[in-house]
Amino acid sequence: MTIWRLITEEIRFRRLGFASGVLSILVATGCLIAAMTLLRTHDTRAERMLAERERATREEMERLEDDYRRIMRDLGHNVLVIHQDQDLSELQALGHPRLTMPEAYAHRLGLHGSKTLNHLLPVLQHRATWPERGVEILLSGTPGQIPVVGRERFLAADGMTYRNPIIRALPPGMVRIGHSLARRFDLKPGDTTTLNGEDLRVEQVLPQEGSIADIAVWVDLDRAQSWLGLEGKINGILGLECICRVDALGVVDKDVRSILPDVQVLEFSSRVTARALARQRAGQAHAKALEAEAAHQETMRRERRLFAAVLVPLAVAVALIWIFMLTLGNVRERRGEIGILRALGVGQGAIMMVFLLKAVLMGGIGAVLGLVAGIVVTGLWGGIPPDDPEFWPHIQPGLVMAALLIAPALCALAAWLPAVRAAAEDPAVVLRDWS
Amino acid sequence: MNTATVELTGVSKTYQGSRSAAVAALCDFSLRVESGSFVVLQGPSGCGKTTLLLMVGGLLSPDQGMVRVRGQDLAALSAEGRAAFRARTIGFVFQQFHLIPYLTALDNVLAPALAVGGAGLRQRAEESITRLGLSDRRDHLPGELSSGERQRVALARALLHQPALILADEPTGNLDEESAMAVLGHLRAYAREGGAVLMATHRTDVSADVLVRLRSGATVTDHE
Repeated sequence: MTIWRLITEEIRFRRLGFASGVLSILVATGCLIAAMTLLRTHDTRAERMLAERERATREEMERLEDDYRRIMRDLGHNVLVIHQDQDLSELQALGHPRLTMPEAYAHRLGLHGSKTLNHLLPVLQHRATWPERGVEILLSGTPGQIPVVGRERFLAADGMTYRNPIIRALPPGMVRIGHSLARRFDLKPGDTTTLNGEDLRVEQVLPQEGSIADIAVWVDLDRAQSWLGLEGKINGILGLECICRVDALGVVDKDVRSILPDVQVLEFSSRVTARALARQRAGQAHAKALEAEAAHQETMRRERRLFAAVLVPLAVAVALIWIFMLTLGNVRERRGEIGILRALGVGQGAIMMVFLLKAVLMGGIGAVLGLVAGIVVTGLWGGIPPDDPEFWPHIQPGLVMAALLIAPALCALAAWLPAVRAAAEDPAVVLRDWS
Repeated sequence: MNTATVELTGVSKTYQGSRSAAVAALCDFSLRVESGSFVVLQGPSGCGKTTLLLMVGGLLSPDQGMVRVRGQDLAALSAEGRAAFRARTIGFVFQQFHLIPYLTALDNVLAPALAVGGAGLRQRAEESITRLGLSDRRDHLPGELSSGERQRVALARALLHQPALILADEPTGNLDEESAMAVLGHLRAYAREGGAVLMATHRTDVSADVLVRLRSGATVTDHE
């Protein structure tokens, strides 16, 4: 007869109590293993999903590039109509045409129904000083797009305004600020700033372009003409989204000059630039989407970690309290047995061992079964099946070892006080009570 | 002078109730039990019989006086020392049998091996079971045995280490007459073989080498 046999026979005799103890440890260990492993599999799935999204984005970008190539071929290109005597070197040096044209040129071009231009935007641009800020700016005025006869599909019912203008008209009292100026003076939409003694509200901060456009200040055309002393003048007409089905700028030039003989037509924004911009925008949109997805995954992960951080200690605490209660009940139930064993000469240490080893056995079996349960749960709900080569590396050997060692140790700890109480039973009292 | 198996000298024991007055279980009690003798303690309930057996077994300490078993003053031993001494020297038989409910008859007989192991214990247990007529019940749980069979298992357990002394507290109290006579016969046989038996009982028809009558904590009669 050994203590081990005594323990195993007692377990066989009182299976239910032992099974409930094992079950509590199974649940606690299962929660621990499953929570930790599910978190890892979740991370892997999130990484996989993000990688998949990135791959899909790349493919989408390539597809978009083709689309934009096709679209740009159909749309032709953007042109700038300027005075025929304007020197191009001077244009490059100044960043705007020096020579002006009558503002009526733009209306004439619209009224004659250019065959190659969809949208016309008269502009007056000139370098100037922002007196209140003491900086050089590109003062720019525009009345907004003017209608082109024959382009009714773009126009509202009145035939005078665009339904979806590429560039909206700027209301009096409003200003659009180039990126560089806005950043320098910390101007945001809705702010009020003073220019040439007039208070103007910032309607928009323009995106960075890396050109002179970044120091542009856009106001309505009348105001710009007044400030520059160029009433009734413009120095350029932007032709946006030209209808060029061939790549020859000459077709546009011929069309425009048939209406306005004393002008020249330049390409001011190439298809390459437009395509690059389109790609950039698309890429930014996808990057934002990926960032949002990553942030969402991180939020989910935090929530799961928080849940695990509450669930696992709770399950462990409940299991340990249950082991304590079970052992205490077991000690009470076996009081007579303890008394007779003590009368037979069994020492206090051996009595303690009977209860502690039983608790350790509960913890050990519960931990092994909990480990299996945790792996099964992860296999079922972790999103990575066990036959996936990446499944098993998620089960941390350190965690497994810790669970297998710590569960029995904690069970022994939970059973310690009841075991001490058992060892401290006075056999004389027990036997007298039982006689 | 030979060393007595049990020697009690001026032993007194009083139980201090938590709410009631103190109760004197034994008062200046002395007794000598030689090896090979069958000593019977008689008396009504509460006269101190069980107290006396528990003190001789080292499970209870006297308030006064000295208890020696085979020359060993039990008070001189630690609790663990007394447990070890008890395991080697003393066997217990109780009225309620006190068998371990989840162990078979054979394993119950082997239970003292938890305290003191040794070679040949299993064989000795099987022989003891056979001698007590339980060979066909050896693998049964106590719940499957009759009262007489349970007491014989308890007796076999007490005899496993072939102790010098058997303390029996009302061993026939829960048995029918036939079983009671059988158990008494085994105890007498054990004494004849050289062991000492100290038995507490209500029965008045038990013949003994020494009959000690206790009444309310005092020895009334002590005769051979």
